[in-house]
Amino acid sequence: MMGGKVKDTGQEKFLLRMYSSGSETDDEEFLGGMRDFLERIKAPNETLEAVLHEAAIYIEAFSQFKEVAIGVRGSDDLYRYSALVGFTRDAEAARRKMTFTSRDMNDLSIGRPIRICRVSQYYLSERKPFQQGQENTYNRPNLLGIPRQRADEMVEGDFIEISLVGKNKEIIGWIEISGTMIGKLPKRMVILQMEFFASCLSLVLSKII
Amino acid sequence: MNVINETERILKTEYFGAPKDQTENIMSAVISLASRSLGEESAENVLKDALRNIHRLFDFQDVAIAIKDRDGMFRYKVQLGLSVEAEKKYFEIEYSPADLFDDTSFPSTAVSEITRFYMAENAPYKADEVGSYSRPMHLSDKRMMANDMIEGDYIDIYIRDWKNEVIGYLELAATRGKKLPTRDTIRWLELIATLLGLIISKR
Repeated sequence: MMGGKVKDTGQEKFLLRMYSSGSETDDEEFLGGMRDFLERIKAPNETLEAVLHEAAIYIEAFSQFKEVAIGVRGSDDLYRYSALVGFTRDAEAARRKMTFTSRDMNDLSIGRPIRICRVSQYYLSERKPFQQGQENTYNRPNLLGIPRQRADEMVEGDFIEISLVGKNKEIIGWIEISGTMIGKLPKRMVILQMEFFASCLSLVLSKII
Repeated sequence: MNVINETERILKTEYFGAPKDQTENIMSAVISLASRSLGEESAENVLKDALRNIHRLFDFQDVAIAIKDRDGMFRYKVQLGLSVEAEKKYFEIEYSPADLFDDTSFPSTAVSEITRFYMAENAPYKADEVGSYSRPMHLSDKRMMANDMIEGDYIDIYIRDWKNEVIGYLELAATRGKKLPTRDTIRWLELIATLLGLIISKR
């Protein structure tokens, strides 16, 4: 061992000022929040539902979306919504009754989504991405079908679905986001952050399901 | 062009495509790492993969990962950047859990719960570890500016398992730009270390 080691306090103060104080950039907030999420869900008594709820809360906080839903495949191989944030009581209740088969999850004929990124599909309201009778799953069903005025608008009925993928590339769940704060299409970085988060969530789910 | 056609055009072009900057590059690499680790990748392959990406994406010339073995001792498993001679010495080093948190022998500054900076002025190494440095003759170099990164400086970021026990650490040294890393870089590496802990340990 080296003897008589005395810490350089000036350098220590500099390091603490540089790395541990001051306001954070948006990127730092996203990364710090992501790590906090991953640390929180390690708790041994954390249930799948609690993990997904934490995930939905985190997404709502870092993204521009007012409505966040996360669904997963159950032990009966049916897919159901598990965590819902930002929905009216009626819309949430209606969604909780819904089930989807594996075929439903892979059926791109309903709503004809546009693939916008690696595992993200954009559903346009104009293509009616819901079946008749499912209008009550939206927060503002009376606004469904109102045509968008500008190309960069995100309107009621539009939503983005990000797949959660398992080790055999199968869909093990999905994240659904809709309703940006300013009513515009999301920025590129938000979608990339969502895909990044989805890949980390898939990893977590593979360990806890 | 009508409105909906223009919306479709935006959706098809705005989000796809090659990474446009460093942040997008890192995201893309970590997504790939997470995806590959879902398969049958061994822990050793995951660590090698992670280290290659860290070396490629960040400014550090010397990067390594140490993992706790079954006998409780921490040993370096993978490294990139060291000379052949230094690597041999480096892989012979072993630390007990007590060594890892011994601030007397290895003085450090904790900048977060999992990140410690070891600065050359404080000689954060044992006398017999000098040979594990690529440029030992520079170990007595003086720091000219507070944000310089000099020989002897290194950063450890803990890898913790599902029970929050430290099971390893990333070790980073010698930036190519000779400056301390940015805060963003540290936040990214902390996130990667956290993911590695989840990947290579069982819940």
